[in-house]
Amino acid sequence: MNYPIWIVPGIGGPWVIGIIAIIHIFLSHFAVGGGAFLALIEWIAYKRNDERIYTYVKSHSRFFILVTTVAGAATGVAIWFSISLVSPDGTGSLIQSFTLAWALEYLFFVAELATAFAYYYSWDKISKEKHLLLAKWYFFMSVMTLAVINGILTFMLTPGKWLDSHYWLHGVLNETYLPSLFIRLFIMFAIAGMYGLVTATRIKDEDLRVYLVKFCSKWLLPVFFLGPIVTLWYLSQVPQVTLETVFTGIQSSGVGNFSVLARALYLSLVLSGTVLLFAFFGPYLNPKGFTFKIALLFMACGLATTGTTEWMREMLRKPYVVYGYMYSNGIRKSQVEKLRQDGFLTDAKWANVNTDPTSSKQCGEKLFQYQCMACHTVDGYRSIKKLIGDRDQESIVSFLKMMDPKNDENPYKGIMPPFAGNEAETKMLAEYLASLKPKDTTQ
Amino acid sequence: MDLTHIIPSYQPLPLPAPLWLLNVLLVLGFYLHVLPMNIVLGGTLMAAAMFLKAGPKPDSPMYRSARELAQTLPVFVSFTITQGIVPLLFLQLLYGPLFYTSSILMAGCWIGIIVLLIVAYYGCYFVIYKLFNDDSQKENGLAIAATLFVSFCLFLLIGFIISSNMHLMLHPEKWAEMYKHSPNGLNFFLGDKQQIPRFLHFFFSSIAMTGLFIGFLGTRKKERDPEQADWMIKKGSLVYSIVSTLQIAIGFHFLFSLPQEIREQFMSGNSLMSYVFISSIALAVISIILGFSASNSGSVKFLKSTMHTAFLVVLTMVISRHFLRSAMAAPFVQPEKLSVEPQWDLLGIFVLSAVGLIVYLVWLVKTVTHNNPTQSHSNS
Repeated sequence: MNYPIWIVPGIGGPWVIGIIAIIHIFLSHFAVGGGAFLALIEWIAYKRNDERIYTYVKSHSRFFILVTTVAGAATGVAIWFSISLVSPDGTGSLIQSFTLAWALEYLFFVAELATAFAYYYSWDKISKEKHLLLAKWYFFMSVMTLAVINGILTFMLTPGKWLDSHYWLHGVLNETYLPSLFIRLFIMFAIAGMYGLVTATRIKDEDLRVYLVKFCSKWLLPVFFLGPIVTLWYLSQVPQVTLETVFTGIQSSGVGNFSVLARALYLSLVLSGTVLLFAFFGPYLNPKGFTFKIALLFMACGLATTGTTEWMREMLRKPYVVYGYMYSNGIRKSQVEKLRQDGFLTDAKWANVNTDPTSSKQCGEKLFQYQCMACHTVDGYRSIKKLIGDRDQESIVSFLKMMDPKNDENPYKGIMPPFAGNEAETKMLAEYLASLKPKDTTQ
Repeated sequence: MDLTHIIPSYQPLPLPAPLWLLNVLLVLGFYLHVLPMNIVLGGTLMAAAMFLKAGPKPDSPMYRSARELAQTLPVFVSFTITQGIVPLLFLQLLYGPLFYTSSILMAGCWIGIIVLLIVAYYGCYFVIYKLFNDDSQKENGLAIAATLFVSFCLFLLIGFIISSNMHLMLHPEKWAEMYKHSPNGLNFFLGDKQQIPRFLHFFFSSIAMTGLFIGFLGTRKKERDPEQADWMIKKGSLVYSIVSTLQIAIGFHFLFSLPQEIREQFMSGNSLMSYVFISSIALAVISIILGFSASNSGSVKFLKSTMHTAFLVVLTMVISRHFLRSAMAAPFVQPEKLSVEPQWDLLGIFVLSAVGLIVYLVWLVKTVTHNNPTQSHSNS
């Protein structure tokens, strides 16, 4: 209501964020896990005084710099750009609450980048001990950036005591902070191993290649052995109503009516299992036969797993952008009651721009854009046209009324925000939605 | 025209620090962004031009300077991006209602910046890792110049999009019409007579600062390669002084494109805004004279004095830019009216970390510049 809505045909705004975020996560997780990888492998080279391993680390560090400092950093900015375009109210709230936390993350990011360049450009120019020390410092600085940003990311799902106090530390050190930090670290190590495989499979010396390919595969161990435990810890901290939606979805999957959350969970589990089997039968058991092309395929698998798991995490937060504070559509929970009484369009700023207030269909369209388009499109992703199906205006009105925040029987309460508008607006929205139905041409 | 009905509200949350401090951080952050940005924009163009002009003469001072300049570009691109975080953060905090709206209106171009940036950035690395050769006789100067020029064009386009958004956020009277034209964010804003002179002012600043940077690279080889050093210092500072002289004319053109009441505030001579502005002109003139002296004598001392003065010129210009934005945004948003609840503990952590960062960076520079050949890899 506060800002104009950016209408992205087909995929919808949220997928613009999604696509960028998935790519960024796969790159930025490499930036952190890859730091540990470089430090450890260089330490091995140092202990063994093995120039062959040194040669590998040097070439891997160039790959590391090219991937993380260019695409990694640029897609990080892209996330910021995209969230502010799609969810300006949500972004504004996060920025206003955590400006200084972000500023703190920036300091560590500067240190991380400076160390990355110092590390890369000082090969053969400083002593081995000092060079190894730089690798360790790099890892420390990159973990610190994670430690800060993890607080803001987890805050969105479990803002905890912040909801009452608005105190930044309550927001950052929330219930899912620690499990999320651990699970991200494990995933980062796994991703570092995957990237390591890409460069290791290009080594000509067979003995070294076999050794390093197997070494890289072991970086996936933490996530597979400790990941499930930490995931359970994480899930035990997420809001109860969200878990109920997941379990309802799982229980009803036999009749084909399982929820989006359950689907995301299944997909994430299937893909994680694929990566596990891939890693075990591929680079771990058969390092000799694991080629560069297979490594790329493996990485694509890893990207798909990361994407699905992050999608699942985002879905857990529905219907909020900041759980219990602001809904996905930018409406604060505290505003809903007033909007249901006084109407949404009464005080709305941009919802009234270029809209004829006497046209109920136009008003209905604006209500759809401002209340539904944070998750739905007209006829693309989560098409509202398809979801409306054959319903007429009257049944849509009943559906919208069922989404009363006071209605405990509302089965969608864990996934959809309530309709924040008055009686007349409910009818306007229903009229617009009913008009999307294909016209019956048989008459 | 009353536009309050389309100016979004701030979030009902307090500011985390006193406004003056947030403004200082915004200005300081932009200053630290604009310095490397100048080298990226000016560096890609000048390196391309120098490769082209030097032709197939890898031993010529021009070719060698261009090569050295091109080698440094990726680090500058990286720091331009990193340093961009700070002004972007504080801009969103203080001017979010204007900035978010204008970004949404031109969302297509705005998000497109990222693609342009990645391509341009990889272009700089492509030059270093694919087109440069250990034996510079084997290099294709034309291909290098062409690649750098493509990167330059992309960086220039990025700058123009950002500049356009920074203008659009101050023109809410254009918003409704643009949204009607395309709610998909396929708009571009060109309808402001300040935009072109302002953009040219930025663009030529990047050439001038890159000139100085070439001179600075020269000062580092004064003992090892005095002839090359001399060429770089003289030519670099000459570029700075000539372009900066031109900048004075462009700057005045920009000044006279501003609304009269704001122009008068700059020239009144009785406000902080005008003191800063007048200082920037005085400092610019001093730096130009110092630059010509460095260009005549090849003196490291003059070059460094020019550099230090130029840093002050850029700082005062950045402060003036902030005053200009505040004045133009004042009818629409008033950050000074927001409530403030300082997060002193987090601010303390931030300040301590900032000090820690400076200490760390000093240590880092010392570590990598203090050679220890007896233990280095190449000798092991």
